[in-house]
Amino acid sequence: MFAEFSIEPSHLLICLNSNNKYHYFYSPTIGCEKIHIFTRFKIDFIQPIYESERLTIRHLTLPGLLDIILAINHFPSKLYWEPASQSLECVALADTIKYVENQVGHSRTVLVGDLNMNPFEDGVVGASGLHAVMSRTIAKKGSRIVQSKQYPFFYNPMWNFFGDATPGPPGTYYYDRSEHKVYFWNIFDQVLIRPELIDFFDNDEMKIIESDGEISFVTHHGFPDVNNISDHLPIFFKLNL
Amino acid sequence: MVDLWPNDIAAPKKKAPVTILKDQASLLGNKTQGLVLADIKKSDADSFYVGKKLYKKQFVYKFYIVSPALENYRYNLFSMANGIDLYPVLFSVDEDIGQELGLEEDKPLTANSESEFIETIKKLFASKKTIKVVHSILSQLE
Repeated sequence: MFAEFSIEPSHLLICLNSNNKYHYFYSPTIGCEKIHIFTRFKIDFIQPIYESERLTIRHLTLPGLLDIILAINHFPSKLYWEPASQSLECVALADTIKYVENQVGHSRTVLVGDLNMNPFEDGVVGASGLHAVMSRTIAKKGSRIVQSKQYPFFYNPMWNFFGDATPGPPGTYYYDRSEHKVYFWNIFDQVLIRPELIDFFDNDEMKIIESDGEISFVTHHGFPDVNNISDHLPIFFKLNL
Repeated sequence: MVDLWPNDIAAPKKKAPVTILKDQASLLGNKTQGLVLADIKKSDADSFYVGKKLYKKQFVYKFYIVSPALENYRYNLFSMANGIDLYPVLFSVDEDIGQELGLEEDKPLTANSESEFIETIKKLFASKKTIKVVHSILSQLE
């Protein structure tokens, strides 16, 4: 799943399929042109059910496995949007996800993408926003009530990846500027998991990726290689459905 | 008792923009043999962001292209908001549509009257993005 993609999908598909190990497919969107999805299964199993310019929500229906909802999004950059705008957009996204969950009839949902916000920011944590918490135990409570209204949780495993005591890089996005408050490393690229799917998710199998095995995604200083690869580092996660 | 209310108080002088939009939305199904529909949903939000600017006390609506045959697929083509006075109507549109219409950043697409509103939605319906989404849905149903 790519939130930033500047080449022709067919070019990548040719590269992916050149090693004969796996056969990849490209799953086109209908209206969302920001996000590109490649799969190792037929695209009939990952049909879009809701889209906007920066969001595609898919119904993943792999044969013999639990069907899930996969929401992939790319929020506008902090360069263009104020924190309040980003938070309000999270409220709208949360409402959209709940709408789709009602349509599909369950809330086995994974949200993944470039949120352009850290896991601790209002829109990601707030109950009326994405309501994503750092603890599996808390998320497994399902929901909580604020001012008489019930809000479902997401589990956000990305909290485990902050700082240099983690196995990988200290974040997915590096930003350094001469101002008073700078985090340097941020985790803008996140995967959020609804409580119903937590037991299928193994934290140990999740990582921030620094290399594809041949080419490094980071410079020799360990920062994302903006010039040759991307200013964001990709994430890898697995659901054992 | 003398009735102090004006006789025409219940007769709205202006048609609400969302009513005009709903009327137009109902026509898409006829043109596509019911394969592609349009739908409008009122948002719970009462504020509306366009770029970095926040507009408060707004009625906010989302406009969708819908395909009942594709698991009720819906595409949020644009959103619009208006205050209690009905006009101006503010629009939030895709970047692609914004470029096509030559919109400047942080200057929202705005309709200040019913005639401007009609003209604006006509442009939105005829935009390359709208046509692309409709065609893309139809091609998947062939």
